[in-house]
Order: sequence, then C-alpha cells, then structure tokens
Amino acid sequence: MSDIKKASSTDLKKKKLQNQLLVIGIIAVICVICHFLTGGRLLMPTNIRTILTQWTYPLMVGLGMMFIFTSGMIDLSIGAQLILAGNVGAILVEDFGLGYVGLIIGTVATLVVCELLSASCSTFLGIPSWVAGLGAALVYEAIGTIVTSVRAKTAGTSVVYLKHCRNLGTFPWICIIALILFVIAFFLFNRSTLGFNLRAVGSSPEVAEAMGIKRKKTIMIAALIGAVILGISAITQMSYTGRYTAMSGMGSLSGIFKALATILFAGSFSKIFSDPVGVAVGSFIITILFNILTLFGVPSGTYQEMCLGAVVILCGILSSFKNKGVVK
Amino acid sequence: MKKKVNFNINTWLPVIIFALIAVIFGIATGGQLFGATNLMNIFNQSVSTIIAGLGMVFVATMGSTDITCGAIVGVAGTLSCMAATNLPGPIMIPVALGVGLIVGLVAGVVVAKFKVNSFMTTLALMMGLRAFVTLLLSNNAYLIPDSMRFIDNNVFKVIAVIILVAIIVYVFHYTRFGVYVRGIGENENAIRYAGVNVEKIKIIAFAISGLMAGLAALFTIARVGGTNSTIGQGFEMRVMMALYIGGIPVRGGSGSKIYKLLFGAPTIVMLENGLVLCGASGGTTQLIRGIVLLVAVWLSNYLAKKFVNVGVSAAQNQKKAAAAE
Amino acid sequence: MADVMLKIEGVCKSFGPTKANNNVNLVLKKGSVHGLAGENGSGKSTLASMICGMQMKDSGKFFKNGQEFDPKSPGDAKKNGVAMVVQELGVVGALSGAVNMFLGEMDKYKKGPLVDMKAMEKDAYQQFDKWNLPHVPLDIPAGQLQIEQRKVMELARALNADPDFLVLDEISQALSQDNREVLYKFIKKFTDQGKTILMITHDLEEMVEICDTISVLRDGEVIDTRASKDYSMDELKRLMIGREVSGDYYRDDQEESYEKTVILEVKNLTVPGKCENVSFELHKGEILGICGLSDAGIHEIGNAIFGLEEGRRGTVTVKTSNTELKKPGDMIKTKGAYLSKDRDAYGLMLDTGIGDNLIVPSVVELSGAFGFLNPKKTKALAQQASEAFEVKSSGLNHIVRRLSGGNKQKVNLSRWLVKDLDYLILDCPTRGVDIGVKAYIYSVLKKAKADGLGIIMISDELPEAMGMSDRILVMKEHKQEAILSRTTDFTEEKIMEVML
Repeated sequence: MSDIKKASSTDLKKKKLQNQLLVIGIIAVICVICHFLTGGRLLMPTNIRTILTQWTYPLMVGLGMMFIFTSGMIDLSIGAQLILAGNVGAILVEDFGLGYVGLIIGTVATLVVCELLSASCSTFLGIPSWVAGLGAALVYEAIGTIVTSVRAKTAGTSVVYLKHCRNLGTFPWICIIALILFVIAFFLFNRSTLGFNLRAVGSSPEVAEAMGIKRKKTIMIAALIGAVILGISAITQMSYTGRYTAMSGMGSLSGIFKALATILFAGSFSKIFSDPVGVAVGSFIITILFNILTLFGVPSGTYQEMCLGAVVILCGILSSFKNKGVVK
Repeated sequence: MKKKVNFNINTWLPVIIFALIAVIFGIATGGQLFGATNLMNIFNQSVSTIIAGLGMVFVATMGSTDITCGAIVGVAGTLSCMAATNLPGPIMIPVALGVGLIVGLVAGVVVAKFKVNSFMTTLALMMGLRAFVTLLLSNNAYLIPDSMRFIDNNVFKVIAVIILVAIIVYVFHYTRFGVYVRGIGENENAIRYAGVNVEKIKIIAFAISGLMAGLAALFTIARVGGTNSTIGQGFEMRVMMALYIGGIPVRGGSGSKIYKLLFGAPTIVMLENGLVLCGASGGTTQLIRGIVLLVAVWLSNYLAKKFVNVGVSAAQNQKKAAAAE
Repeated sequence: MADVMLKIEGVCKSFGPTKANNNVNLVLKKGSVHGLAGENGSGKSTLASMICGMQMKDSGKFFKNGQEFDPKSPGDAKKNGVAMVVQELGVVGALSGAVNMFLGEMDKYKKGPLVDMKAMEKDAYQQFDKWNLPHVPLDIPAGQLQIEQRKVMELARALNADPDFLVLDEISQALSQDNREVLYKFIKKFTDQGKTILMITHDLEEMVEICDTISVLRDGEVIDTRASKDYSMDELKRLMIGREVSGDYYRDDQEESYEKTVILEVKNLTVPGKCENVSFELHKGEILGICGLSDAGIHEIGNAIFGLEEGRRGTVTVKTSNTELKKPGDMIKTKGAYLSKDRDAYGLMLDTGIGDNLIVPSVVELSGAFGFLNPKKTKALAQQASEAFEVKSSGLNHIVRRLSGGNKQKVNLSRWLVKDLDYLILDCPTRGVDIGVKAYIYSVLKKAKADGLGIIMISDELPEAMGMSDRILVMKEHKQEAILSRTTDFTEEKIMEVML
C-alpha cells in the first residue's frame, strides 16, 4: 500500500528548527551590537540581572494570558485583576499580619475569583469577550479604588505599600519562580490532555465538542490555570516593586500592555515557536528593547509609552501578516 | 386573513432604557435630576458624546471598534490650544479636525490594509497618544482663546448638533456608503464579492470616526475652558457605552441606527449625572457604569436571540396564510 | 431477527416549520452497505447525524442489535459502536494528526500528568495498517495535510473505537480515483466482518455499485427501499425527484451556438499552485462550462478572473469596453458579475432581510446626486427582483438565513440579473438547491443566453455542464486541458477521458 504523497514531516521539522535557531541568532547579534552602541552597558552583569528580573513579569503575565486567550477569550480585565489582587495580598500582609500565607493565598484567590467571573460573563452570558473584559475591568478597577480609599481613611495614604514579605520579588527567587512556571506552563500547554483540549476548543470549537470535549468546562479550567499563573505574577511584581497603584478609567490596561504585545508576538511566530516558547521569546525581546531605550536615555512615561504603542501595532501587523480572513 | 403585528422589542429598547434610567434617578435624586440647570447640564455633557458617537457608529456598525476618541480629544484639544496661542483663534478648527482625521486614517489603514484587530490597533494608538499628550503638556495647561468661546454657546451647540445629526443620518441611512458599512458588519465577504473596495470603505469609516472625535475635542475644551493632561480620559468608554446602551449591536450590522445613539448618549450622561447627584464617589460611579455596560450588552444580545424566535413563528404564520390562499 | 444491525422506527425531526424527517422507518442489515439517496434537503444528512448523536430526534426510536439506542452525543454513539465520517466533523488544524485521532479520549495515554505521544502515534498507525489505509504523516499539524489525507485520517479516527456501524457522508468526493479504490476495498473488508455501513453520496453510479440496498428519501420521508441491483439509474433519479425528469430540463439543442462578438478574453491566466495558463474567449450569448475533477483548479479560475487571487499573472480583458480587469471593482464597472460557490460565506448577508440583500449590487446605479439613495427606488428594485424570480418569502424583511437553499440562491442570482449585465461568472450555481429551483435556474440561464449574456459556468456536475454549455473548458491538475464543443464532443466518455 502506497502512502499518500509523503509530505515529509522530517523536512518540516528540520526547517522549523532552522528558523528557531535563526530567530535566536538574530536576537543575540542585535544584543551584541546594542551592547557596543550603549557603550558596553547592555551586557554588564548588573544590567543582565536587571533584564532577567524585569523579564519575569511580562513572561508570567503572558503565560497566564495564553491560557485564557487561547480559547478565544480576549479578556482585558486582567490588568485590573492584577492590581486588585496585588493590593488585597498586600493589605492582608500589612494590615492583618498574615505574612506569606496571606500574601499568596489572598492574591491568588482574588485573581481566581475575578477571572472566573470575567470568564463566566463571556462563556455563559454570551457577551463578546472584549466587551465583557472592559465591563469587568471597570468593575474591578472601581473595587480597587474603593478598597484603597476606604483604607486611606485610617492609613493616611491610598497607596498600599508592601513593606514585609518581599523575598519573592528579589533576584534570583523571582527568576526561579518564573522558570518553574514556564516549565509547568510549557508541558501543560503542549503535552497534557487539558492543553490539547484547550487548543482544540480554541481553533475549532465545533469539532472539539463533537469529539466529546466539554467546551465550557475546558475554557473555565484553562481560565483557572491562567488565573493561578497571573496570581503568582502579581505576587512577584508586588514584592518586586512594593506597590500596585490602584487606577481608574481603564488605566489598568497600560499595565498589561507589554504582555499583550508578547501574546501578539507569539501569535506571529506560531509557525516557528510553540505558544509558550513564543511568549518567552517575545517577552524577552520586549524587555530588552525597553532596557535599551532606557540605556539610551529615552524617558519613560512619554517616549517609551509611544514606543510601546508602536511595538504593539507592529506585532499586530506581524501576527496578521498571512491573514486573509475577515478581521473586525 | 389575520395579520400578525411584529412588535420588535429591539426597536424600542433604547427608549425604554432611557425612560427607566430617567425614572429611577428622578426618584432617587428627589426630582433634582429634572431641574432646569441640571437638564441643561445633561445636554451640555451629551453634546461631545453624541458628536463622537456619530463618528464611532460607522466603525461599530462594521463590527470593529475604535477607542481612540478619548485620546484624540486629548491630542487635538492640546495641539489646537497650543496653535491658538501664537496664531488667530480659528486655527483651532483645522488643527483639531486634522489631528482627528490623521489618527483615524492611521487606524483605518492598519486595520484595513494590514488586517490587525481593530481593538488592538486603537488600544495601542490610544496608549501612544496619551503619552504624547503628557509629553506635550509636561504639567502645563493651555486655555482656549476668547475668540473661540462661542463654541460653548448653547444655541450654537443645539444648531451644531442638529446639523451634524442630519448629515450623519443622511450618510448612514441614505447613501450607498451606509449600505456598504452595514453590509460589512453583516458579511464582509459578501460586500467584497459585490465588487466593493472594502478596504477603502473601512479606511473612510475610521477617518470619519477620527474626524468627529476631533470635532468633539473642540466642544469638550470649549466647555472645560482649556486643556490639561487628563482631558478626554475615559471619554472613549462613555461614547462606547452610549452606543451599546442604545442597543447598537456589538457585532455590528443592520441593527445599527443613529436614533439609538441619540437615546443612548443622554442615557449614559444621565446615569453618571444622577449618581453624582446621589453623592456616589468616583469609584462607585465607575462600578455601576461597568455593571450597566455588561447588563446592556447582555440584554441586547439576549433580546436579539428572542426576537429571532418571534420572527420564526411570524414567518410560519405568514407561510400558513400563503398556503391557505 | 439476528441479522438486523439497526432498526429505525417512526423517527421524526423538525427544524422550525420544516420537517427534515417524517416518520422514517428503516431496517439496516448486518454485513451490508446501505445507501441513502435523495436530493439536497431530503433529510438524509439529518437522519445520519441523528444516528451519530450529533442531533437529537424529536420522536421515534432506534434499535441497535435489538436494543433501544438513543445517542445524546457523538461520544455516546461511539460507546454503542457507531462511528462516522461526516462533513461537520473535520479535524483541528492546529493539532497533530495523532492528537486529532485520539481527541476526547486522551486520558488513555496519560503518563503521569502528561500525554504519551509515542504510544499514541504507534496506536494510530496500527489502526491504519489494520484496515490497509495509506499512511499519512501524523506528527505535523493536521492543517498542513491535504484534504485527501485528512479524510483518510478521519476514517482511521472513526475506526478507533472499533465500531460495528459506520456512517460515511460524502467521503468519496474528496478522494482521487486510486484512493476511492482503497476505500471500496476497505468497505468490503469491513462489511465482510458482519459490520454495517450507512453511505451517503451524490454520485449515484457509485452508490448503485457499492451499496447492497438503497433507500430513497424525499421531503424527509422514505419513498422506497430496494436491493440496489433492482434500481435503474433513471428510476432512482425519478424517485428522488418525485416526477419524470422532463426533456426541457437542460437545453434541447445539440449545437454550439453564440454570436461572434467576444465579450471577455482571458490570456495566460496563472495563479501559482492553483491554475496555469488558462486562455479562452467568451462570446455574446455563450455558456462556457468549466469542468474538472475536484482540486483541478476550476473554482480558483472564477476568483482569479474576479481579481481576488494574489499573485495572478496573465490578462483578463473585457472586449466590449476594452478594459483590463485588475481588481474586483473593475468587473462591476464593465457590467460583469461573479457569484462564488459558497453563497452563504461570500454571497449573502444571512442575518438581514431579503430586500437589503437584493439592493447591494445595484446601489451604485441607484444612487443619485451626493450618493443619495431614494428608499422608494431601492424598495421598488428589491420588489421587482424578488417578484421576477418568484422568491418564496413573507416579504422583503424576511431574514435570508430562514430561506431554503433554493430560495437563497434565487435571491443571490436575481440581485445580479436585474442589472444590465454583459457577462456573468457562476460557480456551481445549483449547489445545495432542490430540483425544482434547479430547473428554474436552468430556464433563467437559457433566457439570459438568448438575451445575449455571456455566461461562464463553473460546475462540479458533468451532466449539468453538458446539458447547458456551448463549450466546455476542461481542467486537469491545474492546467487547461482542452476546450470541447457541444456540436462534436459532448459525450460523457469523451469528456471524462480528457479529465482523467
């Protein structure tokens, strides 16, 4: 019996590996060039440490988002959730003296509850996910502002500072946590039943359902996993920076912008890297880009933000490069 | 032959919600809501929302999203005020409109030609533009020149809104451009296979949206009296809510009607105004806005589905009637 | 009754006002291939999908091996030994073939928290070998496989659960000749083991050849069930349609006839990987058929002429006004139109009224100064189109999605034909359309031809192309093979010889 036209899978795999090496090579070369352009500052040990530390946040948020977005649910309330959860965790530590237990459980639990609520809005009520995300973001932001302003009456300041229990945000712990999360996310996404089911639900929901996969259950479990990852990233970020300023009027969106760019990047390189690796590479590129900008003396808040906007659009263009379908 | 009247709840939903909110806050504020000054206030605050909404409705009808209008108000307002410090006042008009148009065109080209999701595109633009406003102002504030204060005149505003609504109703409901825009919302490919340059239509729709946002910027800064770094913040959400509360479908298509916006805009302003009168804090107001947004979108989705069933039974009756003849 | 595999008793199913299945009673024997014949919309796919658990029946009963069987989901059906290869159940393109084959039952391969990919792949290939199916690569994303490979994989996937009842819905359409042979051998081997196949195919010759028994469905009811050798082809057709196929269904003349004026000239039209060097001229009052096996590139030609294929080379010139067609808008300006094969995806706005759909192609002509569209004028046009084409509906606001396939196609066609056209490109104009509307469309085309319209008709159905065309352009493996004339070359053997 002859095989149907041997579309040789070994050739395809070889090509994929070549492309992977090429992309990584290009990044390395650019890093070296920029190293000299910045007068040898980019690859200095202290700066590498900074880059590695700063890499963790977009990486972990990106991984969490990946589990949520893959099912087609573009939930933009994540930024508000991170802020709210971080503040809840910090309040439990500072005002209630619950230590690491309070920080971890408080943050993760808040994020899980928020994310499951957002996910339910789009999954069970049929609200388009980005609108549900916007509505939920308004709600979570508002809760954040209300909580911190109530606390301000006694504490005197509306910003919740985390003064204790900050070891999780220090080098090398923060990097070790991120690495462990990445490995777990990688295998969960690429090699586990849930990962396969989730990707099936994301790319062809009808087929997945006909094959006996429970769509809503899969989406909710993936959202749960994503929320736990996001919760951990909120803990490390809170520990690293010491505060999460509560925002209103959709200001929380800016906090997840780098992670969004990362996800778009992973989408544009999905033929070369599997999604978790794409998130890692994408978040690294974005971290290093902003590190270089800072080294060049580009002010943050203005020019850097404008750059970020441009990068997101660019990543979007890249990820839609071969898209011939209908885009809304 | 019995004729079945096909009552479409979607047609009346904007009016019902408008009345409902009016009654609720009318009672909650003890009638304060309907005081003459407050009514004027509501109208004043609705003007910019209606104007920006008249532009955004084209984008929303295509099933796309444009959330740059708040940032456009910031940039256009700031740049036009800056221009007016050295040049004669009327220079503000071309500057504001120009800024809006350019931003709209950029968004349109990225969405139509490069096929990037419109929400992502405009979100990125919004972030960039907001940073640009911060950069331009660097803690300064600019005032609007006296020669341009006539924009804030009530009579002028009423006339301006009436003219603008008339123009947009014409373009939206009575031209082939409107037919195409609604068609793209229904089935983009069907319009493309009818030989229409869909990319061009999309770019024009985004350009109109930007242009109207630029116009809204003039009315906004005229009312506030100048510009600062927070101007227009959250404006995009208010305009979007005006559209969705009015029952314009989130997925676009022929359910989009201009009158829905004209009810939606005062509804959302009344909601915010009523909450302030009731003494709600900024956080509470935002909380309620978020919930109202979710409920409004869910409700219009839900009713649209319900209506489909009504339509089926109506169609069935008609079929039976036809068979009986 | 030990030899009965599946017994269907009084099964009914309605979608809104239409009865898809009405009191269906059937007996399917063990070790047999049972064919379901019927026009589009006769309810055969509905019946199959209810047996597979993809849809719920309203009333009635299934008995499998003498026991009542009421599948609530495809998984449920699978547990009861029922498997299927149907169009609605494709593959997940992003996942590898091996994962696709065991989707939904991945837990079998759990190794700790992960999935054992190697074991999965090995089991998958065992399945291929067991049934002598040609191997397809299973370690790359299924989306990168060819349609044919995917269909074979879907068949192997269906066989995973070791079913004793298999539903095959239109599987052979996607297969090339040699793989059809493989399929037929498989069917024989499968039924030799006392298992049963329910087969749905549009290819009636294939059906008579492969099936042991054939049931004919019409309007949701079983009209007749007989051993397939007792059917003649004509009888089968007559039963499906419910009346004699009248003589003037297709054209009744046997001559190539059109005016000398060339309307459209296509020269060396090439789209890399899709079609190569297609050249022809379309004359006034001519119907030019384009035929070929599936994947021969016939459907791409329409898109390429219209200007929506990227990387197109060669020229398309409208001779009447000497303009070259480059982008979609050009065709409309030169009084042309193109109707894509997939009218739901590329033709109609399904969730709006008939009226809105009817006016879209004509708004350019209807709009006056400042682009003004007079509602009275647009309504009149829609009314005219809808009446001229006898669209059965409750009015212009009738939502298109709720029309039958035939009426949808009437809307699709009429909105173009009310315009003053010079030429028209139709891709499978009678696809998914019932026999009555089919005849109606042919009569409309005959009239349009008489009025001097040049028509390119791309068709999957050879009888249709032969029945209607003046000339047939035959495509083979993306290349133009020949242009045959109605006067001399229109026999099925001759055309098939060029095609294969």
